[in-house]
Amino acid sequence: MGAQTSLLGEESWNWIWRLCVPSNIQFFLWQLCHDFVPFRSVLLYRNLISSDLCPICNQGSEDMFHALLSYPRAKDVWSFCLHKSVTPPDRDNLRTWMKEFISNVGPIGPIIIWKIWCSRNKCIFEDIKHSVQEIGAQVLSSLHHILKAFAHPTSHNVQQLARIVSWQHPSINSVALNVDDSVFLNSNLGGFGGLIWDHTGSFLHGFFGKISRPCILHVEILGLYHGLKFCWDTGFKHVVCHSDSTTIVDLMQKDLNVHHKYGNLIMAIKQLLRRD
Amino acid sequence: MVSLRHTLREGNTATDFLAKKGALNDSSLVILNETPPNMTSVLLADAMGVEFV
Repeated sequence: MGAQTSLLGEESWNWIWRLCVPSNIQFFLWQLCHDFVPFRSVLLYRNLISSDLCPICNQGSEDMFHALLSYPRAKDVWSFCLHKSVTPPDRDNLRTWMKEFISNVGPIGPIIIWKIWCSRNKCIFEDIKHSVQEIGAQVLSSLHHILKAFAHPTSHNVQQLARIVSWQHPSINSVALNVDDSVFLNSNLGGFGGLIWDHTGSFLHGFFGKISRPCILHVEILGLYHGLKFCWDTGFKHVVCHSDSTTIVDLMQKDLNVHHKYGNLIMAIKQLLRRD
Repeated sequence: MVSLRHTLREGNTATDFLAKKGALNDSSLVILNETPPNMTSVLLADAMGVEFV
């Protein structure tokens, strides 16, 4: 570690300072690269404690590699957020890996690292245990805000910035239906989920379901179908439905190709869309 | 009256959360009539646009 710092000089940390994430996260990365973060292994090395056993899983020494990458919950958070599993590097190449990996994956990488660290502290010091999904949701929410904060309104992505939508509340007497899909290609898992909101932005209903051997289009179509059908069955007649898939929106607006792989489902959705 | 609109993934954290729950669950369809306990914070963050620590 010391050798790397002195060999490469201060210049080498620019990759951290150039990241589009808040300074507290940048600083945390910098601390990680200097072994300044008080993992149990660091505390033991400095003779502050007598054992470096991981306080959460009690299995193995808690060093940076263990706490942020290899222990099961950390691993799950990575695959939850990135939709793929992350191949951890050798312990010895951790810093090189971090630099390369983070440069490739963008701001979500540092945010995941930061949130795993925060949840580790919450668990140890406040006895609050967050689920993988909760940590993942925190990562996605932070990412959303951080991307917004670091977007340059003067450059070419003005249009993109203006297109970012948060809640669009439906008008009185109607409800909003948001549908989304999630496919983990590596593990062959797929699911859809949806939420129904009223005009004040309050939660009315939610739904989710699993599909084995998922195909992204199939999951998207099924999510939309279940959402619309549920709205109709529950008696919501004025529905504004939001999908983040342009494919789906296009499919529903175009004439149906009867030979389409999911022709029956598309037809059923079109009928639901046409009802009054 | 049903309309279908395109929206962006950002700001859709809560729905994304449910979709992932869907993928990781075993049922083909689950309907929720109440907010699941571990989702309250996500919903709030989405609705208010608040960053949570």
